[in-house]
Amino acid sequence: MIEILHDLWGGFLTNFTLYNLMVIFLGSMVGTVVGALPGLGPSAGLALMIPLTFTMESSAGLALLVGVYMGCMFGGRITAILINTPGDAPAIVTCLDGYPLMQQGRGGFALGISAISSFVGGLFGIIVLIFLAPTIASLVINFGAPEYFMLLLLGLCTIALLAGDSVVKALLMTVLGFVIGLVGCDFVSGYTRFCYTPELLEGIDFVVVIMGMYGIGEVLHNVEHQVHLNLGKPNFKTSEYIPTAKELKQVGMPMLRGSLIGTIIGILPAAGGTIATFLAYATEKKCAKQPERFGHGAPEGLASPEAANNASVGGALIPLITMGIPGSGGTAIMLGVFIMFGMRPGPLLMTESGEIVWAMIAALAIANFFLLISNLLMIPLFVNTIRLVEKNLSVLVLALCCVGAYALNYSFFNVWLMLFFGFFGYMTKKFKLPTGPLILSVVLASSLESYFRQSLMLSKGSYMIFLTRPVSLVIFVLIVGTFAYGIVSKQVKKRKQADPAKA
Amino acid sequence: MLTMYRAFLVIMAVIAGLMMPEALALPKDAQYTIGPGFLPSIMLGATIVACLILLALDIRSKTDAKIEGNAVPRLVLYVISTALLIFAMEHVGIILSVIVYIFCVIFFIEKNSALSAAKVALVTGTGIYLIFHTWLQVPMSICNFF
Repeated sequence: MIEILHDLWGGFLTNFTLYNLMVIFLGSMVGTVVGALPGLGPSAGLALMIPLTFTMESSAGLALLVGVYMGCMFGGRITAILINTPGDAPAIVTCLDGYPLMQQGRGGFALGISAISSFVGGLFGIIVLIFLAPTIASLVINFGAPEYFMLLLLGLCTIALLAGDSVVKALLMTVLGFVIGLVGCDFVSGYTRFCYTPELLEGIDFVVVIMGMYGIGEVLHNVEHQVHLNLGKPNFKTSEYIPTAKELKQVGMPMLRGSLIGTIIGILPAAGGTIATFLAYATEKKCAKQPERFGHGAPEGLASPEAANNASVGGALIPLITMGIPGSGGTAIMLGVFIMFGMRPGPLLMTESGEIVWAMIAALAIANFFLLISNLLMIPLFVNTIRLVEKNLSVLVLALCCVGAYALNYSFFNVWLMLFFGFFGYMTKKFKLPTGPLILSVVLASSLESYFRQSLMLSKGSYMIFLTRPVSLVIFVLIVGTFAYGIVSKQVKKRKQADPAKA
Repeated sequence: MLTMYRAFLVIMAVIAGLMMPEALALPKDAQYTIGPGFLPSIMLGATIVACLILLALDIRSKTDAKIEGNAVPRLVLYVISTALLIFAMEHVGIILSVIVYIFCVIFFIEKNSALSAAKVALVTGTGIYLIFHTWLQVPMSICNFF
């Protein structure tokens, strides 16, 4: 306990420099605006900001990215409340009671209560992360190569089998990601794989794939659908954002319930903020004495999902930090960023790069605090920025992606490659092929191959090593269970869709 | 009927098929462990199989993903202009290309006024220069000819 608090304090000290604080603040602001813009989610926000971290120290780079990540979670609610247009998927639920409050002339109150709920949820998730992550990390620290391999495989299977609406589509994206991730020189054997140009010898950088799929791909999708926001000038008084003690008491328990649900759902792979918000809303409606108020501007219906959404961030970081298992596209990008900064994701992360991890957790807490203040006091600034950026969003993102891909290693080949992946990303979105499994397998391909090789060397070529070691066997059973659950749940979902009367 | 979706799957399967001989030519195993060709062969094989399964599942479907009619020219213009931007970044200079690109897209494709297009282009160009060149010290030319 004392050791955890000591490490956390060290993390805070790392961030208490003017540079790091500015970086966290910048990330939070950018994240809020990106989150509020329909069509751009946390993954796109992270993809756009990765190039800025290339020359930064790892603690500052991660601080910027967690600021963006948390900011996106805060931002989605702004347009949901003001114009009934959710900035991202989890904010769909925010529309249900946030927009009616706006129509009743209580928009300032809705923005204020949702900001406070987001803060409480975020803080709850971070506290659970702080105390749970070291415990889990200490349990899994003795894992060997076979366990690592099975863990990574479990992560891949869960995201592949639970993402999207078709198992085959998700599997196709996973194997495609592997093929992309295996391009380049195999440094163990010295053989080259699919190196059709010399630039491919070092492999395809995951940043190029992410920027293409989430940056260019999303923009092309927006260009097709021409999403335009009709945001007016906000004319709320600052006092309207601050709820009274009575109002806070009314939403206190819903906030805590939402935080708990969000954290638990966040920990589960491939669940994430969207499921957390829907579940929190449904739970709150069941707990309410007057459920008929929901959908007509009930503050509890706004507070609980907002808390759940932000709590899911801390929850999602627990399996990522302790086991190297990301549960979503956003955390898969964070996993790639860990690798980019020379860290080794997995059970040893907290031992080998503990200082950086604690600095990142502290940055998350600081960003959460900055976001509360800015979302209570700077709403007019955010709205005006969104109005300004939204008009020319597509062209600005395209230009930023091109310069960002060049900044990766000053090569124009990467920029062309990014454009290719952008077009590919657009097509996958069109055909409803999930992108999360592809990104994850691009990031994990080389580690997975490496652990597979090491495991077989340990057993002198016997594949039974994965079934004879107890932990590895347990993870294998979990993988089989995930397979069964993934296939059965999708079949049930299809039947329900085909026959809604029976459902 | 060849729909966009089926064409996509066929292209994926064909590309995987074209890459397969190289994967098969690589050693599948090394001493006590797998060789460099093991995973690529499996993954490419799985890609082909997954594409064929999706094609088979789609055989009865009569729907197709469609690009909204009036969006096609906009999409094509965006893709071509971005390709031209990358070409120009390499041969003309990064900042100048970005400024011209943003101006052209806002003025010609988005049909906004020349003044607002110029303002956005100049502000963005300056911002990119300050962030990437001055702050992050990424080597980038304003214009290759000066």
